[in-house]
Amino acid sequence: VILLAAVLAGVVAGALCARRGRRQLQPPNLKYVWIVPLAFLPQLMVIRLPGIRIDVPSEWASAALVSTQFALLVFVWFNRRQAGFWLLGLGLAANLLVILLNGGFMPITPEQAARLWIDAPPDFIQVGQRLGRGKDIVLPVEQTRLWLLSDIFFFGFDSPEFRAAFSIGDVLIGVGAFWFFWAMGGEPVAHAA
Amino acid sequence: MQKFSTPLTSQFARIDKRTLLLIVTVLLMALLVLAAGAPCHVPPG
Repeated sequence: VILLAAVLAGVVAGALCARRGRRQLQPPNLKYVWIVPLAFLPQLMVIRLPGIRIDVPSEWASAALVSTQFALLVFVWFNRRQAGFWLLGLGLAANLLVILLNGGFMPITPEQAARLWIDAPPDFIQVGQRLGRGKDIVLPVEQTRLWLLSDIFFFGFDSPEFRAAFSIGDVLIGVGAFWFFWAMGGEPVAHAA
Repeated sequence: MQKFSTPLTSQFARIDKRTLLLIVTVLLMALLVLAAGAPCHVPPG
């Protein structure tokens, strides 16, 4: 939800920017766009869709997550001259690095997980185990490699749907996406390619 | 009529193409950030 909000905010900012300059939003020509849905597919199958997703061993889920991130890095590299894409790439690389160093999932501390899953049964949050069917693995700070790049930030309201833990990489991805759409309005930076 | 309709038609075609490209770009970027990001949240239900 947080990252989609960044996309939406970017579109609104870009539209306002274009309107102020009496221009139209100019979507750039992105290269190799087919990589994105293709990269998303394994993640969609094993992590994303409740009811549809396939229950697979954690190793497969981890492989799906890592392969998705690698493929998206390739896409970002091909489009690196687009506004905001270097930030997107940096965020992706940061997430991928911490995921690779921690068993193929994004680490989250038990305390952070408990803040999110307030009503979870006692055995739901277990150190060293994947958190539900998601992208995270529960690891204490002392067992986490590059803890700073893990899901250290918390955002939340009373409703569980509006609570999230996120990483520096996620912030960079959100800012990069916002910048990309903002630049479509013609300011502050024109699309280079 | 002929003089009027041709530029109008081409203008609409141009706007439609741009709008379509914009929609596709928004959807693509939404997919990208969803797949690239790793925020942890409680799924609905």
